[in-house]
Amino acid sequence: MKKQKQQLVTESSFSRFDLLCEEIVFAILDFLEENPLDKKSFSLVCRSFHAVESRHRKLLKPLHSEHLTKVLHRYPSVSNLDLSLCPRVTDVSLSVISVGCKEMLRSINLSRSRFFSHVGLSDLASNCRNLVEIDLSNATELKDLGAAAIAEAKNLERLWLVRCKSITDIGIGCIAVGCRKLRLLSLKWCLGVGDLGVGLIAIKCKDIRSLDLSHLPITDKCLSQILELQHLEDLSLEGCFGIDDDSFAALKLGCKSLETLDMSSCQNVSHVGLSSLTTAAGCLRQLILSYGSCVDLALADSLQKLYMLQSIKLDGCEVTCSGLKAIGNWCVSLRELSLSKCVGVTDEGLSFLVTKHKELRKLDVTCCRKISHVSLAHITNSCTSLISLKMESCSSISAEAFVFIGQRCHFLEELDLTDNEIDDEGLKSISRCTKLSSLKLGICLNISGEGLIHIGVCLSKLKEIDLYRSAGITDSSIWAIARGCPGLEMINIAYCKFISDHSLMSLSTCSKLKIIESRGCPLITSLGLAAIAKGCRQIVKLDIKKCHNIDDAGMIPLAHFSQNLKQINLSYTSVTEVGLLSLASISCLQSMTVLHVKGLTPGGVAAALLTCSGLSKVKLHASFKSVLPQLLFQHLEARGCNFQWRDKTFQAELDPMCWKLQLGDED
Amino acid sequence: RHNWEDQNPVAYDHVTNKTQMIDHNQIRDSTTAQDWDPKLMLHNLSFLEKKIHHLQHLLHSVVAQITGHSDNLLVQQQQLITADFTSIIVQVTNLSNEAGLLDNYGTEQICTVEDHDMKSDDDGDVGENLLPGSYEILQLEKEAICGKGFKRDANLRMHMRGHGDEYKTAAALAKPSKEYTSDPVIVKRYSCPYIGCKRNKDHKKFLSLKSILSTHTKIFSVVADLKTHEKHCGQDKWLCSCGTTFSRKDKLFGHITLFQGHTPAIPVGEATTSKVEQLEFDYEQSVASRNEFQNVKGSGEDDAMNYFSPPLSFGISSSSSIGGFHEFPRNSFDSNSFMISGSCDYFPKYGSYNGTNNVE
Repeated sequence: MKKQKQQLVTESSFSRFDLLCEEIVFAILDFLEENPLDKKSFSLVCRSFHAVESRHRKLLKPLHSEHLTKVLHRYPSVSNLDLSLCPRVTDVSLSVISVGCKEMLRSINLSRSRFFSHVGLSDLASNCRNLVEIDLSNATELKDLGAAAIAEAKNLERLWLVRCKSITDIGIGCIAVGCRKLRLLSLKWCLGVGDLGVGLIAIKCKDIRSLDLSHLPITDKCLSQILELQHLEDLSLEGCFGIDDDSFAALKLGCKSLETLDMSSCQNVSHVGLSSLTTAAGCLRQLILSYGSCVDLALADSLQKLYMLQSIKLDGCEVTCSGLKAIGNWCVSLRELSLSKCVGVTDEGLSFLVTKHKELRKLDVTCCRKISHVSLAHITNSCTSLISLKMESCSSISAEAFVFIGQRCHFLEELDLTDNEIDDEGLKSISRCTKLSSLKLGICLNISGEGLIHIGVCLSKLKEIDLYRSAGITDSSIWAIARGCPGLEMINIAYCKFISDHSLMSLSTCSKLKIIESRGCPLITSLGLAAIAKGCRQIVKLDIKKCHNIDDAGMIPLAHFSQNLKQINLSYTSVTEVGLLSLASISCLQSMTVLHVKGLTPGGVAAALLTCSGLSKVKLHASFKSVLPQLLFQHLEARGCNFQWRDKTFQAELDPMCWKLQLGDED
Repeated sequence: RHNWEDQNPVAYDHVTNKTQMIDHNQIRDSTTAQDWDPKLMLHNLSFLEKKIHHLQHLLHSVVAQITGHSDNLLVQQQQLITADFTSIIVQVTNLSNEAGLLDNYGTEQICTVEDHDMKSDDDGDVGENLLPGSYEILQLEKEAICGKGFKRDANLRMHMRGHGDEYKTAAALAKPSKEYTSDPVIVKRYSCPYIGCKRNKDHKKFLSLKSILSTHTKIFSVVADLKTHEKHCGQDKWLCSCGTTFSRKDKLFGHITLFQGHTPAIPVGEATTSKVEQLEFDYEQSVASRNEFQNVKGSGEDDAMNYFSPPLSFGISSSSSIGGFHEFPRNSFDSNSFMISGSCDYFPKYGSYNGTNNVE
């Protein structure tokens, strides 16, 4: 269907196309979502296409804030402005936006931008009166005046202020009074905001649906007011140490609407507080109690009144066998359970639990090192409708047990077997889970290329595959995967030392690949990289650290074809300043790590940094800091680029086997 | 004279007789300039109502104690009542003037009435009925408040009471005047030395500090209270958009919770020297300071030239060694070629760049 329409766009003659009314062309344009460059090509066909596309564009994600005047003139109906690729957005830019977009603007994202102040925000709020969504996260310099400026946006419904550390109760008070229509508010890490500000939000903004108060210094004083909000559905209290059992004691009725509650790292809340909570918030569907108090019988019993509960996360908690059994005895049937990194999960408790909750769709038992094949047998036996199973580092499960997964769980879409004993037999069995889209096999030292060939042949829906340090992988298995999984988007072949250019060449047929990690593959050369660059034009993230044989010959095609590349790691490669400079012409490159690259001169680095105007994060060796003039760094920092200086000495690579043994010793 | 009176008194016209204090010049200005505000008038009326109730209450109490009390007390109360009556009459006339009924009286005390309308915060202030201009404002000096003056003043008046009934009138009680001459007695009210405090004369809703003998309100009935006020008023940093200041943040938030439309106000000081401004770095500066660079570098002047050479020259424009590159319309875009549409997670469409030839 989509292909047909594309053909229509590209093949039909102009006269026939003119017969279509604008709405139909708009509808066709809506199908050109997948590749951001598609719309660009469309608009380049002719003047009328250009005009149609300009009129239709609603969402804009500019790479530079300097040309905003022109851009906004070209796209008059933009309602959604995402500035996350512009590290430098000044008050002038904001004023240009506010004048250019006026009432059309409904949403703006400033979470990755700096250098604006309350003046620009005030412009925005007063001119763009239909703004409903602002993301101001990471504006750590923004003070109460900025918050007061936002408060002028009376129609605001969604506001993110994550990490706005300089805003205090006063600023939040202004927002509470000004933005009465708020439905979503995230105050995560706003350390200056306390009970008074949050309390005022609860009093003035009665429409709040979603509230994130993670890591705020709040206490029970404002909690009672929050829980009285009539429409509150989603509440996050992660890491609020000021909240304890007494906070919930007074809670008798209310919070009927609450569906999701995150109380991770609330160390002062025990089963006493939870039981008073459960009586009040009976409609909870999802409860997150990660890194909290011990999951024992009392805690499990305090939660059994939650008749609507579907999902519970207990990551990092201490768990007792009786606690797990009590969860098993709940009358609800859980859909999602996470016991990741829980200490005390045993075969007895887990087996009992999974036999009772047969409807489980997602199960996370990462790092439950005590469970053996018994647990896995029970899991696969009773939870046959599992969609996601994460069991990284369940090191006590023997290799033979993994066969159960393929035999019984045919609905699996996500499977994490990182650091397990699984062998080729297990892989052969897993190849029967034909719906798998994400498979992680990192540090599985027992698997070889043979097993992976089965995966490649059978799992055609695979989008992500992680083979990090799975040392036995060969070119032929990668070839099988590349051939069998055309929809592959992410592949990690880091430290697979037998991988050569042949693998990359076969992977170049996977045109949807976005992320390639091939750290420490010594056999890979520029030839392979050139093939990737030519075949996979959607590459966003590329890690070729420690690929010693990659040099400038690989960088040049990369610079030419990979116009979507945002992040690259070039450390320990043989790239020189020529390669670096050619890379710098990629306009959307944001992050670059260049450590221990021998062929670099300070001049080359400086030129590359200056050329690449979109850079927001650069990791360099500390020696460049003293060699290059300070003014250069000032200039780049003013452009919005952050520098991270590293002073590590050159590290020789460890053998994967010995590396794993080392890890084992530490446990 | 006491030392604080020696300070330059604020140049307010002071007239004790309330009917005298209407400045006719002002009236003409205000009646023409000001629009008639029914809401305000309603408000004034309700205030008047309260006032009348208060008077009724006072009269009731007089009726109740009329037996078995000394004449002196009765005389005092009578004086008080007459004073209250005059105040009511003045306000009624002003009110009618406000409505356009009378032309001869001013609208001055509307602002006084507004003072009452404002919820007093932590002081529980009832507010006086004194009209602006009807009393003298003395600016207290920060170091001058030793309490001695107040004490002496009080002592003096206490002493004067012993001299006879004429010194026990309401007027004598209300005004700290040590000289009982035939001059019109000046009411003295005090202004707090801290600018920004509601009790500083420059505050737009100024409430004066009263002296110790303000018996019917509890404000600063002892010098210690004034000192306490002084202690707090310097910290009255929590400000509401309505102009009210609070010594404590929770008081401010309580106030905002109660009143619709009131919002916390940010102190003016915060606007200046924010870090954001300091971080501003002028782009042009780097170009302009190219010469500086060379000087800074010293040894590597040639390098310094390279740093700022035109960036676009590094673009790989002639990489024709690798086949099939020409299909990509990279350098042919106009100034908008840096645009990227869609969200981050775009999904590539295979072969979309090979044009129409390869679609089949």
